[in-house]
Amino acid sequence: MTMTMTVRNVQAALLSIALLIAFLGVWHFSTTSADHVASATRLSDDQVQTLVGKGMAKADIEAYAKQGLSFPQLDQIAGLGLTRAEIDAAGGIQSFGFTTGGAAEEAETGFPSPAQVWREASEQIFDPFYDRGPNDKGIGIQLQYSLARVLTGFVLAILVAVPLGFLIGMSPLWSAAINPYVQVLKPISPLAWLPVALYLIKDAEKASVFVIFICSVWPMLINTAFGVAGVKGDWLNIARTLELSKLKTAFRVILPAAAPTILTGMRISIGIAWLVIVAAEMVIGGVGVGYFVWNEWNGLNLASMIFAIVVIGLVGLILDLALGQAMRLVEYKE
Amino acid sequence: MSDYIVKADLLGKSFPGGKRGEENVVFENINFRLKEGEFITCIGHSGCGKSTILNILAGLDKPSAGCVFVNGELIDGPGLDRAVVFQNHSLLPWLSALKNVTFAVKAKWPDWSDGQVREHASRYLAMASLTNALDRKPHALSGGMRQRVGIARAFSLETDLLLLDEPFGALDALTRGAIQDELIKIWTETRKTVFMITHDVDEAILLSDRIFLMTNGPKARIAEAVVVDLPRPRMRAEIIHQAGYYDIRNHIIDFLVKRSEELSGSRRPVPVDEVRTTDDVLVYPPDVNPIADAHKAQTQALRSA
Repeated sequence: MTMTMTVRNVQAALLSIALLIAFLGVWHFSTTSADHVASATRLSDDQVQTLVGKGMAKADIEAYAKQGLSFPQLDQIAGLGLTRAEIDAAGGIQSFGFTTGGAAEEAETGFPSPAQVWREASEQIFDPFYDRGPNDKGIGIQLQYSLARVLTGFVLAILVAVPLGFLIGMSPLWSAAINPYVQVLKPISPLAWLPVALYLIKDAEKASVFVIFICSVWPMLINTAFGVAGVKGDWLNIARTLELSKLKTAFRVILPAAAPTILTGMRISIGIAWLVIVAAEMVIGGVGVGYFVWNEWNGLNLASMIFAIVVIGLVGLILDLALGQAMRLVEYKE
Repeated sequence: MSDYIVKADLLGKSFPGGKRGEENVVFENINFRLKEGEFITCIGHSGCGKSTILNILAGLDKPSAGCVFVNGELIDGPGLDRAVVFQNHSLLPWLSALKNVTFAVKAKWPDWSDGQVREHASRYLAMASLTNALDRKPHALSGGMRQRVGIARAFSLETDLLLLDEPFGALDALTRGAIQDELIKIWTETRKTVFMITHDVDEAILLSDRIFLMTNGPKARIAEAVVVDLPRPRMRAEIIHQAGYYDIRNHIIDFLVKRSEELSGSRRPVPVDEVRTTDDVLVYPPDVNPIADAHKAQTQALRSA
């Protein structure tokens, strides 16, 4: 039984690696093959006519296109009013500030290859905490801000959701009274609260924490109430026959009994919070992984952006594993 | 008065919701007294309300009529002066066997040191032959072991009254026998008053001083208390060969098969003059001694011959 399981695990790991290699391969070839095959710029007949009209020789146009210069660049060169021989005599096209070949091509297709992302990543990984002004901070600093917001909002949500969930779970009256509000508030996108929070709190930092709070609170509240309501009557009877106080019953019997369900709620919450913080930071700006992704996109630093996206995924995974580990501590078998 | 540790007077339990606003009477007019150190079992068909009677004694359920006194005090809710062994072990699954017992011991004696609590709990677990399983969680114990932890937990509270609600109902016959022996052992060492619900006639004879026989519900009542006049200590393997064992067994089987139905309140309504409402005319179920009766019948038959 364990033998077959280990064999399957090994098989799964090999398959995962194969899939990754296949994905990276496809990515690599679709981004780099453009360099080789299409390094020569293809100009339309109209474009060639325009350039000829500006006094550029057809042979020169073809030669420049083979070097990979784009039409706007050729247009500028044509504006110089010099022949190719004259430019070469003056030190080549590069000395006039034009780049040829791959670099020009990259600016055109835009999407970075895995190798470029890796280069960017290794730079960022070895210096994650650099700080060169408000719009240029390392990924480490961005993560610090995002995690601080998520954890603050998350802890606040625990402080509200767990006691309230206990109340709802233990009292059918309160459950029935609060349920309609929960049902209405739960499906509201957390980002919809952002303008309200910004207006009321007038502080982007606190508003983002509020958004995390509001998106984390529902799964925890519902799961806590569900877990508390589901505590076996037998266990409560034991507490009663032992004359435990209400408080002791809550902490010694109900809490451990409902803990796995409560932690499941927390695990769902932290996952949602991490999804939401990226979007919220794109809106509020300043600093944080969400803003970082958006900022890199605006600056067309796509390699850096892709790296940040991968980091977001990995941090989300770590948060989930941490909660999973915590769950294991409180789990019990019946 | 003081030689009775438990006194149940005119207990009744009914639920609303019968036809035309009538009440569903599960049982009524239940009176009994338990002597200190007595082992009582209660047998009856399902639905006669015997578990409800036990829950009323435990304080987990409230009677619709009547009241219960334990040690002269009126029962109004659960308390540490009584210990309960539930039908399905009811151990807290996140605690080890030892912790399940110390949990109860700490509740009863909050001032005790940890060492004292542990020592006390271990002693009772040892009585239930569980010394090797102290650190195991309930899921890692067999059904019989779990129930033994439940018994150790109840006895560790050292209450004057123990309430056992079909403690072996969910166990197979072999395991059941082994635990009956454990229960006899613990009870012999502690000599506490026990009130136990069971479905098993042999189990009842093996353990009891008296067996309450209940008529079928609705409107069930305790018809009689069978005195088990067999010497102690009793051994499971030997008791069936003892003279008189089958007199008792046949009497109970006869009751369960025939008379519990014939005497049932639903079949034969209790005449108005039988319903007693004043405290001073409590009618207790008569003690019946099948061995003595059989002996009497035998001598009578000899004489007339």
